[in-house]
Amino acid sequence: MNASRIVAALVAGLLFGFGLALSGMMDPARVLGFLDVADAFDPTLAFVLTGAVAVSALGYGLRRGMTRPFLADRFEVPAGRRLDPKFLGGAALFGIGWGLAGLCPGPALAALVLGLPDVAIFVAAMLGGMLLHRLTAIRGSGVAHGATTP
Amino acid sequence: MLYRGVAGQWPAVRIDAPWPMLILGGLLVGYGTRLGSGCTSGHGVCGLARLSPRSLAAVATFMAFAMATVFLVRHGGLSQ
Repeated sequence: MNASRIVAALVAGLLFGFGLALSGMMDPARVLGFLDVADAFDPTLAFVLTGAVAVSALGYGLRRGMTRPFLADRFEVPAGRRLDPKFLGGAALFGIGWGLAGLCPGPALAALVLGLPDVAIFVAAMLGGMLLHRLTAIRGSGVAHGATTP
Repeated sequence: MLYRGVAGQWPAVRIDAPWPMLILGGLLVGYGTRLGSGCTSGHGVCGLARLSPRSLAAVATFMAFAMATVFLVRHGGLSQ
C-alpha cells in the first residue's frame, strides 16, 4: 500500500467518523429513539440514512464512467447474490443486537476513542461474535460469504 | 476527534443498557454482521446506494428486528 492510498483511507475514515459524530449515529440513546416506533419515536436518523445513501449513490454513479479507481487496480464491489435463510438470519441477529445495545459496528468503533467502558465492552463482545462466526463457519459449508462490509 | 476539534466538545454517547445486554448485543451484532455479510453502513448506505436487492432485503430485515427488539425491551417488560 503506497502513501497516497494510506492518505486516502485516512481522509475517508476521518470524514466517515466525523459524519457519524455529527449526525448522532454514535449516540445509542438517539439510535434507540429512532428504533422505538411505538413511543418517543425520533425519525431524524432516517434523514441521515437517506442523505448518506444519496451521496453514496453519486459516488457509485461516478464510478460507472471510470474504468478503474485512481489509487487501485480495480473496484472491489461485493459480488454476493445469495439471498438465503442464512443471509437473512444474519441480518435478523444483527437487528436484535442493534436493538439491544443501540450500537452498530461503525459508530461503536468511532466511539471507542471516547474511552467509555460500555463501548469497549460492546466492541469486545462484537469481536467475539465475529470470531465465533469464523470458528463455526469453518466446519460449515465453507462457502465464502462474499465481501463483508461492516 | 475531528468532531471534538470542530464542535469543541465530544459527541454525546448515552448508553443506558446494562452490561449483560451490551455483551449479548455485541455478540449478536458481530456474528450477525458476518453471517449477513454487512451492517448498517455496508447494506444500509453502500448496498442501498448501488441498488443491491439483497441489501434492501437485509436492511428491511434488520430494521424490523431492531424495532421489534426495542419494542419488547421498552414496552414488553424485558428490561430489568
